[in-house]
Amino acid sequence: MKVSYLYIRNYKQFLDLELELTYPKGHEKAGKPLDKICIIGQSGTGKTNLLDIIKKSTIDFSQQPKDSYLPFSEFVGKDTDDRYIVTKFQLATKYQADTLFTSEKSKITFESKQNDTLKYEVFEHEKNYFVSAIKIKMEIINEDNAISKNDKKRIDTAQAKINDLLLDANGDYTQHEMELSILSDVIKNIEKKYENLPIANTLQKIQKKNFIDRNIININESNNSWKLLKDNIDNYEREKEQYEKKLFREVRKNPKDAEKAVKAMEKWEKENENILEKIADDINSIIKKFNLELQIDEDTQSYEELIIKDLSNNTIIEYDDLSTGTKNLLSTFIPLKSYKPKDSIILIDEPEMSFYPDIQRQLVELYTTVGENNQLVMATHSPLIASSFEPWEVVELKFDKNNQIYREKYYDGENHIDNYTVDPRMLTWTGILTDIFDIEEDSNFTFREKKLMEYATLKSEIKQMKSQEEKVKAFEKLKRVSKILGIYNK
Amino acid sequence: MRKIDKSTILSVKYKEWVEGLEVDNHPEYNSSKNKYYHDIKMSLLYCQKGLCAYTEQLLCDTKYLDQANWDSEKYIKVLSIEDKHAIQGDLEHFDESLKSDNGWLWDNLFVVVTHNNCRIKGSKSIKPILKPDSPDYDPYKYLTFDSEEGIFGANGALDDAKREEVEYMIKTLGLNCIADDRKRQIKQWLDMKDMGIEIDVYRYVTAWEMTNNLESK
Repeated sequence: MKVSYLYIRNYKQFLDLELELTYPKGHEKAGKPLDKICIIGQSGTGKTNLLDIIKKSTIDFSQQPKDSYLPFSEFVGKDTDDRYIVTKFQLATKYQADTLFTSEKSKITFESKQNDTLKYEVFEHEKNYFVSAIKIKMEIINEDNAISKNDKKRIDTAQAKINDLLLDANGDYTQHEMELSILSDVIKNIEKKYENLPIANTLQKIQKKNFIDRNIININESNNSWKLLKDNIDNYEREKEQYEKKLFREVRKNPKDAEKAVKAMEKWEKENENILEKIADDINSIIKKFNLELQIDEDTQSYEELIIKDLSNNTIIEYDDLSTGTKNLLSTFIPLKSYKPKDSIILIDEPEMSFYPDIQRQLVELYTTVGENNQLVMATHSPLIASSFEPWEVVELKFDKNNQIYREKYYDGENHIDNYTVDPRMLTWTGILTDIFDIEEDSNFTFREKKLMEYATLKSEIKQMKSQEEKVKAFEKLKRVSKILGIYNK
Repeated sequence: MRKIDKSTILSVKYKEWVEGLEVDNHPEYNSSKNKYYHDIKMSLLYCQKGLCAYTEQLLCDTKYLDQANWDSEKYIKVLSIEDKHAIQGDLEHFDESLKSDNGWLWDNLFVVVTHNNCRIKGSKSIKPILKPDSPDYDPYKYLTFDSEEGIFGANGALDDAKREEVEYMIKTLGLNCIADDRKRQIKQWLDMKDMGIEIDVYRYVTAWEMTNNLESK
């Protein structure tokens, strides 16, 4: 699922903002929703609110009481007809979902792109709303690794039947009401089954907290994802040990049952997943950037405990002693990587937080490779992050002279790739700051100007000197000035 | 990237050894274990005048490259640990595909700055159009240099197909990976020239020559 269009009318600071979020003409993906979006703009232009609007528009009706999902209450102005939010989503299936929100109603429309005659309108107050809701829910939580193949198949079959019924209903859902209700229960029950698994449940909580509910993580919170993961792994080891002990006691009583016990243990291991083994490679690929790696058990060549080794001195380092940036990256990536999102929208506010510029440069690539066919939406103040985006992927919000928010246009005339005049990928970091972030000067000019004048004067002074010896001596001073200014190499 | 003359092999013993190798018995390339590794590196550095074959960064002081450091067979100067640190660069296989069966071939070897060898070129495939010791290679024919940005590009006189090949090789050999450092160095020398101060062009020779439109020697 990807967001392809957004129109906001009289909501919070947005009085009239329209955002086309598809690739422009001339692009190989012309007309398709953007794979990644970078929202920039000075404080108060509503970057975080935009993320919030996208999040709230991906409604999960099935989890809400029927008549109460009214996510947008902060509309401004008096005329109720003129206060609304329209969002369009391109689903991974052939459907497009259009949502309309006012302060009084929420409406979702599904449209098949393949057949114009198919059109489903499902209103929140209608009985069949859950059908479409499940559809969206399945899009968001699609690839849950904890779901067995068999159950996945059952869900898919039920989903396919729902789709068929929808097609058949052609707008009149009453005839299939009972059947649709049963099918949706089938799906709900399967999902419920997994929600109660302790490991899957915790992971899902992490995922929901960090991923679906936007990425705001307080890394100093006691229940951060690292600690949750560590508890899970410790639990796994503890339960394994207990089960082993239990089996051993039985074998001591009946030594003939040894083979049976081995089989029982194998069965247990099969049923109880060692999460650490599953995500060790992913964690390693991230922490290597910080000169760290997970410690592997020398005897078994497997990862049994969540222990991090500092490669610079080969010592163990506690999670609490890791740098803020490392913690931040780990607590974001563990849930994301283990979740492997597919066809989902990933919203991240200020991804650059506490990262050294070198890591900032790699963040977009890291986030785009966590899953498959996702849409990455970032709100950022970092020129290093902005430099990874194509110009049409940048949404720059600005205030006009009446203090109204608008999107800065990066092209002249028609929206075609050839007509773009700005491209963050082609600029220097300074260039991004001046041309895109609209910083007027390319340095702290009060100080730099004084030094630059010194450089110019010294140069003209040396030029007028006669002897080589005198020039060389004065040049040493010029070199110092030039190095400070970054004109010569350090 | 200047033209390199590799016709002189000062490490005679290595030369005899490598020329005597049959197609079938060329030993496996294992840099740390071969007794000729150091000889090859010093002999190549002699041909490259102490500079990285691709980026022209300085790899060692020319005092290590005096002919007196070789006897009739090999490099004989005894190097202390400090000396070894002062001589930078790795042996690099221009055509990586020859590394497995013909890893010690003189013709395919250069000394390049470690960063370039490990992080940029790696095992990428090559196009022979930019090979520093090739008889056809001439930086003025294939390259252009913009001193304000410190960047090498393909010569505008080339046709599209050739341009593409040259651009691919500029990227593969990492000729622009030190663009900012080179830009500032050229700026310093231009300032010195402007002020009438003598210049020692100890690196980035091609870039400096092209900046001044001097003919390559």
